[in-house]
Amino acid sequence: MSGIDVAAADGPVTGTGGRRVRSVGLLIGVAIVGGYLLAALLAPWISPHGPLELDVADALAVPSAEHPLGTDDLGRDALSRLLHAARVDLALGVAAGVTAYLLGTLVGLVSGYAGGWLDLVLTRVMDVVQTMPVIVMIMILLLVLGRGPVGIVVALALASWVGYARLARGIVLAVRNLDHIAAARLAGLGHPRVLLRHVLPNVWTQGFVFLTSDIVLSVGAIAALGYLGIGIEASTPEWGQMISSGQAFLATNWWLSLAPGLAIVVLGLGLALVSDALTDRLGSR
Amino acid sequence: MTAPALRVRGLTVTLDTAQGSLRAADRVAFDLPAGQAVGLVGESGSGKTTVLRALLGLPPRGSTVAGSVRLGGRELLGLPDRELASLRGTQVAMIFQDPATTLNPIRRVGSQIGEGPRVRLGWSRARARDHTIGLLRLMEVADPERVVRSYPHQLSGGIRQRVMIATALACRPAVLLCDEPTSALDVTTQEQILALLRTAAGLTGSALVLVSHDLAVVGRLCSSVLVMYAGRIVERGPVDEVFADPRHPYTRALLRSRPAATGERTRPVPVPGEPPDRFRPPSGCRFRTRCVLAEKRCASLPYHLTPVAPRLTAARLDATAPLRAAACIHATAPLLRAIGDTPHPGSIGDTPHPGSIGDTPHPGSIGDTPHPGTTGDTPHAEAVRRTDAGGRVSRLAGAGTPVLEVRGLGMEFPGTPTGRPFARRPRLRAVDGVDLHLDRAEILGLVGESGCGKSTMARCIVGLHQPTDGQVLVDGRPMPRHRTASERRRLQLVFQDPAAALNPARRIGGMLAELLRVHGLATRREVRPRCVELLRSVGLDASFLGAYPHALSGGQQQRVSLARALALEPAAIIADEIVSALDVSVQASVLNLLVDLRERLDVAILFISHDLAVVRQICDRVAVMHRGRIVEVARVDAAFSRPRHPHTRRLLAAIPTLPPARRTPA
Repeated sequence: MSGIDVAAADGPVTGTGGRRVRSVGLLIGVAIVGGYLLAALLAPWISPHGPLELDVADALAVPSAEHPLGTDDLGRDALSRLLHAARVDLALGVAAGVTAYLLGTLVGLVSGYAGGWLDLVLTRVMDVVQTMPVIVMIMILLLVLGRGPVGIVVALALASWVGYARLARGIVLAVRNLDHIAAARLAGLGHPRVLLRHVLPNVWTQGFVFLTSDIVLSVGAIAALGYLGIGIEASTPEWGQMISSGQAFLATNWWLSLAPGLAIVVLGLGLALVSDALTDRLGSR
Repeated sequence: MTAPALRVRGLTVTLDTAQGSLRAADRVAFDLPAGQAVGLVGESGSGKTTVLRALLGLPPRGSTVAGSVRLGGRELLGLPDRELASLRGTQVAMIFQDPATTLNPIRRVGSQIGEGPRVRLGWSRARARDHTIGLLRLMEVADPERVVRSYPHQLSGGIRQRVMIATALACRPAVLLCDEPTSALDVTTQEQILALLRTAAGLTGSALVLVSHDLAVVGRLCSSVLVMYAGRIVERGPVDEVFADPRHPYTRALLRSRPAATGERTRPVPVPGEPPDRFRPPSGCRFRTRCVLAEKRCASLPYHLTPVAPRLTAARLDATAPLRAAACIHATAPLLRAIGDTPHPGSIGDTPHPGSIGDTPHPGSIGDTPHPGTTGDTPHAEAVRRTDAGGRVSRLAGAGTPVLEVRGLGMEFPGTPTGRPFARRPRLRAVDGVDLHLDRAEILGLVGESGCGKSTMARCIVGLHQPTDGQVLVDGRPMPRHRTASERRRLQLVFQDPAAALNPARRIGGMLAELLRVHGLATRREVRPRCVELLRSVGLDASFLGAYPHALSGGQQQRVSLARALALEPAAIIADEIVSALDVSVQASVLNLLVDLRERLDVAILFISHDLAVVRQICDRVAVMHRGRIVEVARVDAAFSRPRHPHTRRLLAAIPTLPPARRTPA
């Protein structure tokens, strides 16, 4: 008597009915995230100026037709820098998030499925990583790995994979005791196949949903590093650095810090909406 | 004549869901006189529980309730939440299906039972405690002083359900609502609980509403019955009259889908077709899409319960007996009696395309004999039944080595910690020296109460548990401790919960194809046709290949599980309670499928069940298990007519039955 029986007389149900309210959220989310991706892809063509073009004579200009968001203290066009920064921040954020997702899911999968001493060792490693303060750990890793894009991505991934690992491990623990896994083993399938073809399809979706909302944290972390001056090389356009360098002129040219700040916030909103919609879609199976 | 304890008129519950809105209950109306019991029966999704919850003022989220529910003359619908809350427990109380989840695990049983009287009636702690102990005595709980100090997990399922009933009765409610109160219990416990419910309700004067899918349970406890289909009451009347002479085709079909525990062994006839789409129910009579008597006008007739003339018996002179009525154009005609003996055309239960098993030839037939006829109650099935009863078993007896043999199987679990340091409970011997054999094309029933070791034994046999001692032989070859892939596939387990047994993330076709490929059971070009063939053999068509399990009904899921087992070409299938999670109407079709598979594919089946009526229906022999041991193995007819072991007798005595006199029209 529980739930709604969706069985139809003429076969399995394939389509899903309208979820109008949710769909609006998804639409807005996709529009926002799509807008960012377009901006990042097309930045070289739609920017009015080069991101590194100096014009010291026109430094700290107020917004005008020539410079819609004004110029910074070195006379660089703020809008052009904002658009180019989308490339850097999105690329690094997504790369770091995906790396953490892959690493964490793999570790969680193995840990939960194998159990025993391997699980014990891996969960202890997770505990240790999680006890360290994130920013401090990233700073240390950056010292070791160097401040390049690869260093940043690896440092961020190593600092954030534990969440994915715990998530995956928890799901594996629940799934591996279900009858369908027993049935797969009874069917004579080996452990690697059961793990990858039967357990993983039940696990990856949740991590993926987490990933969409987590990317913005990576972007935020990159911006934070940029703000602290230990992120990517100083001249590269990057939202965190833009906020940081605009800080000195908050009283007069407040938009220099506000625009990149808003860029991060709106991106976070868009990703969160997409993540919510994904929860519905992927969760319904 | 006093006013009824409960008077329901035009109760309509409309649910707004993501998929649209649906009427979970449609113009439900009935009277419940004080001290009487009414049963509410129907398939899953028919609206039984929705009605029950609406009576309690707790309709599902996002629903609107219309109509009228009067409790002792007081209108409940529209009452503010506070006032409703004050009525719950004192005026209306509810008993749920699963006492394991409805009792609070972290509170002592005594404080849970006594909470109602203390909070609602303002009783002192001591008075509530005395009352609690009195209630538990009434519930025939041994040592109630100990039980009130216990936590729910320390008690058995039967005791927990008694506690649940005591909790519900604590404030002497006028109406007691019971939602499948015995479905989670063993037959023997179920029998005791039903008897207790009857006496307790009699003593407190409470009227009962009993929701159950089990017609026999309703027959035991209730004086009148309401049959629900797709949110509507389709028939109502006194239990004995409705069961003896159903006037709605659906009631008739439900009664016929239930295997009989006594009398002639006949194949149960499943209710044909699937329940209608609840968002787009058929116009007119909602049952017409599955009805053998459907006519053109059924599609346009408004919902109306036609009164049925009472039979002039002594019982009918009782003025309080409910009036009979049925929502069918044939309600007053004797036509229904006439169809009682005609076969349902292509009645294959929950298959999406009735008749396909029989009507379409099987491409490259799986078994050595093509399957003629339909799976319904046809002359062919008649012949099969006769061979069931004798010929087949004797023909096969001693015909070489058994496909599955179990010798001295034992399984011990280490004792669990008691909570005190270093102290452990003694080792638990779940399976204790079991010897069994299963012949080719035989269905062996394994029965016993829950906790007797049935499932543990099944898991040992297929190799999911490592038995402590003993041997499992397949085709005379002992299975090693660590089985290879090809050894594992020879024994297939089919599980109780069909939803958990299928991987939700994988399409059915892909799942089947993988097994065929991994074991090299089909060449690459044969894989797809073979998958279609497998689905056909369990009564499903090729459209299911691309479906995910969640889109299937329970019966369809269980068929897919069977197809998966068959894909591996096993020597034997171990079926662990595979129909107990299904509706009665669907059960019959899955049981018939098992018998068909045995006929066509010569597959041997170890059929584990707590339901003796079902075992009697389809099995050749039956093994009775008690506390880890097999206490009796016998041919089914012998075991049921001349049980030797006292435990078998106890199990048999506890099966609720519809008395034979009620099954045949007078």
